[in-house]
Formats: sequence, structure tokens, C-alpha cells
Amino acid sequence: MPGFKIAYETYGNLNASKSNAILIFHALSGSSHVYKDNSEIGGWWDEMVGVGKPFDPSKYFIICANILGSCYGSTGPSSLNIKTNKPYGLLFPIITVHDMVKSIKLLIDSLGVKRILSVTGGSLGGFQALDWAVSYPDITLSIIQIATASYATTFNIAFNEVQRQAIYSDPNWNNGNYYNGKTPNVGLRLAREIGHITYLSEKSMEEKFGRDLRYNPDYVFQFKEEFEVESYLQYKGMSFTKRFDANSYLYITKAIDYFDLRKKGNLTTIFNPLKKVKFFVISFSSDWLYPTSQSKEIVYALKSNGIETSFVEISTNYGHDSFLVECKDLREVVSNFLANLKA
Amino acid sequence: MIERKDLNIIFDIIKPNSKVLDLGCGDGSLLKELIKNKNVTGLGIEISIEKIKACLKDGISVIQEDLNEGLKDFQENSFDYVVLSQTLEYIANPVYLIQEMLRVGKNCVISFENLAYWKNRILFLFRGTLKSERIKNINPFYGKKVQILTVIKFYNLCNYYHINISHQFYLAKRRLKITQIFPNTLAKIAIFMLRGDN
Repeated sequence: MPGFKIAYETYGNLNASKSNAILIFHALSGSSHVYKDNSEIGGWWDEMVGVGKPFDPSKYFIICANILGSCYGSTGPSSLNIKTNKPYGLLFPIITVHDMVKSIKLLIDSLGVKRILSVTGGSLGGFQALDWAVSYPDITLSIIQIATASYATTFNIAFNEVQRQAIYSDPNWNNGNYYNGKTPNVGLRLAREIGHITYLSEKSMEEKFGRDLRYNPDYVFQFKEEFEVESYLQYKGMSFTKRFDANSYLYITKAIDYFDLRKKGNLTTIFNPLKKVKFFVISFSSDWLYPTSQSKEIVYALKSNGIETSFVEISTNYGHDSFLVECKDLREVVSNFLANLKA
Repeated sequence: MIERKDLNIIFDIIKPNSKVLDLGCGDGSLLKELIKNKNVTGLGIEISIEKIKACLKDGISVIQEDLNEGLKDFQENSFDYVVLSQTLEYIANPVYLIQEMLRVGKNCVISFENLAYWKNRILFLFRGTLKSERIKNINPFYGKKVQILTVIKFYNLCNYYHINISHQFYLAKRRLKITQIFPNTLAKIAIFMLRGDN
């Protein structure tokens, strides 16, 4: 690729010793807007970023960049291809998590930041954080891994593929060439609905919706949405299509599928050069997309190397989405961990 | 000085610059002192998230784990000391855990409350209840203590399973030599240091 853009946001200030930088990686549908700050739009992690929150811009210099392949400012399939003067579409190269991390490293270098106090992220953000720590251990003091894994499981791949197929099946998708005409919203909506179910838990869905009916007091015996949960999913799916690009969804889910830290050897060997990095691995009890067992595998490999590691499994009902919703335990453990880091 | 007396003794036992695994580390007060004053590399295992928050606040590495599952993820002889202070009473299968501790650590330090302490006996004789049962409006199963431990019982356990006791120390309200001679009756808390047969 000839040249590319990375959109990013920073909050807070770099201190005199340049030792308070925190790098936050976002997940599949995130953007660089991690914190509302003075804007009118809410940040995707307002629960964790802000004054009085663990990632406090009055103490730390917080950086969040939009990943390559996304559609929130960084170069992706919907960006203009200078060579053809049209959006890339499927001419955009297939990118990996490591590509995303490398591009963000260039950003960090350009900001003059030489050391990172902590890298963090949930889900795909956690993949990036881990890849970052493995790639740049000498400039990384610590890593906070949340609801994530060291590789995409069969389950992850299966669900991602089904979501991609939903997009491919939309007649408007047209092999990724839809920027001049109708967008494949039906496909993208379906993809998001599937994805959304994987982010919740059986218990939370049961508690929130049960078998409640949305519109009518009793069954109507027709093929239209009647149950509360059906209406909710449809709403979530449709609002997603207003803000996200279908091709980006394809590229990013593919990058998730390709991620496997063990490709170059077993985890214990991979983590060996990370002896000086402090790890905090966090999982959620109801997360079945990136279950605790994945986090424990990482913790085991870290312990085998004698790396300073802490681990908690936070009890929640919200499933994989737990890292995004309000969680006092998550805030407190992360705050306490951060307070002890000395650059 | 650590608030809990048995932790102070355990602190004294542990040699500087060693690797310590504290099982059921609570708020990490033992590890905190060891790290600060004896340059120890420490790791805590704890199940309660509130106690974990306290450990993290003091910069202690801590892993949330249920000790009843043993120490599956730990390798042989990976620690100089494995400590289990006033936690054995809560373990469903104490022998399994002790054997795991001996596998993982070169030395094990275990402390527990001696139920045969003379004050407990007098109380039970006159009131028919243990100390904790005197209080009325609390959950009688609070804390889920599952084992009744006495000094003699522990000795018998080690004897039966061929576990080598290398040191023992007994605590009572006052430091009297006689406590060390009649521990089953006079010790409030017992502390044992174990070494595996290998």
C-alpha cells in the first residue's frame, strides 16, 4: 500500500519524564473515540476512561487509534484508492492484527512517545495489546488484557464466517463494489445481529427479554418479529448499519480469524522475552466467546516464564460485552493495578 | 510488624531473596512485608475479589484461583516457599493440597488455629458451643470452615502420609516455653514447616 492514514485521539498530557502513556486498542466495531471528553458523542469506553476512572486523563496520556481496515478515519476498504480514484473495496489488502499493531507503532513513534506505561484492550483490542507486547517488549512496561485470548478459536472462526456469509449473501454487496449504489445493509444487519448474540450471555438475555412479546398480547402466528428479543436484535442490527461499513466488517473479522500467537511456537516460548513486562489478565465468568480458559492458558505460559502476572475472573452476567458495561470490580482492580506501575 | 502473629513468625522463617507462593494470601500483608524487607519475589493466590483488590493496591501479583483445585498450573520446585496460613481449615481435601504444595515448593509453611486449645475446651465444656457459635444473629456456616484441626491431628496426618516436619512453632497469648512442650493444649495457633520426602 502506497500510503495510509491512521486516525487517532489523545487525552491528557505526556508528563515531563514521558512515562505516563497508555495505549488503548479498540475492538471490532470501535474507533479512536474511546472517551467522550468535551465532545457530544459518547466514547466507547466511557466506563473506564475519564477523570476518576482507571484510565484517567488527568494522570495519564491516553492514546487510542482507529485500526487499519476500519471506517472511522483510518484507511480501510471504504477509503479512496489514489491509484484508481475510487474506494478500495476488495482491492484493499487483507490485513492482520500484526499489521494493525505495526501501523499504530508508527503513530506512537511520530508522537515522540518512547515508552508505554500500559497497553490495554478487550477482545480484538486484547489481541493487539498482546501482539504489541510480544513485538515491542522493551518499550512496554505493562499490559492489561481484558476478555481476550492468544488465538481465535474454532468457535470464533465459525461465528465470524457466518457473519461474513451474511454480508456476501446480500445482493447489494456486489463483491465489495457498492459505494456508488445501494449498500448491503440487510447483510450487514444480519451479521451484526449474529455477532451481538455472541456478545451476550444466556442469562442476561433471559433476564432482559425472556419470552416477552413486543407488540401484541399474544402470538400472531405470522412470520414477523413478535418477541422482545427479536425486536431488540433488529434495532441493534439496523442502527449498526448506519455507522459501519460492510467491507470493513469483512476485513476485521478476517484479521481476528488469522490471529494465532502460537503460530511461531508455543506460548511459553513466545513469552520468554517478555520477562520485564507486568501482566494483568482479566476474564469474565459469563463470556463464552473468549472464555476464562483462554485467559488461563495465557496465565499459565506467563507463570512458566516467571513473569509478574495477576489474574482475575470477574463475576458478571453480561457475557463478552462485560468489558464495555459498568463494572465496579473491573474499575477497581484496574485502578489498583495501574496505581502501582512505576515507569 | 504484621498484625497477625502467625504471619510475623512466617515472615521470620522465610529467607531473603527467595521465591514465595502465598496460598490464600488474603490482603497480601505477608507478601507485602516480605517484598519490602526481604527482597522476596512473591505471588499470591486468593479467591475473594475484595481481597485481591487490596493485594493489587499494594502492588502484589495475585491470581484468582480456587485452592481446592490444587496447584495444577504450577511446576515442580518452582518456589522456595509455599505458604498456607490459616487457610487449611477451609480446604475440602487438605492432604491433596499439602501434597501439591510439597511438589511445587522446596519448603512449605502451614499455620492453622488449634481447636484443642485449652480455652476452646473450657468454653465448650461450659457453654457447649465453640467461640464463633456464641454470636447469635450470624450465619453459622459463615466462612465455610470444613476441617477441624488440632496439633495432634496434624502430626498424625504427616505421619500417615510420610510428610516430613522440619520445624514447628506454637503461638499462644503470651510467649512461654511451656507452649512448645504441650502444644495440643496450650497452642492457640500452630505453625509447621514441611519438606517433601525427596
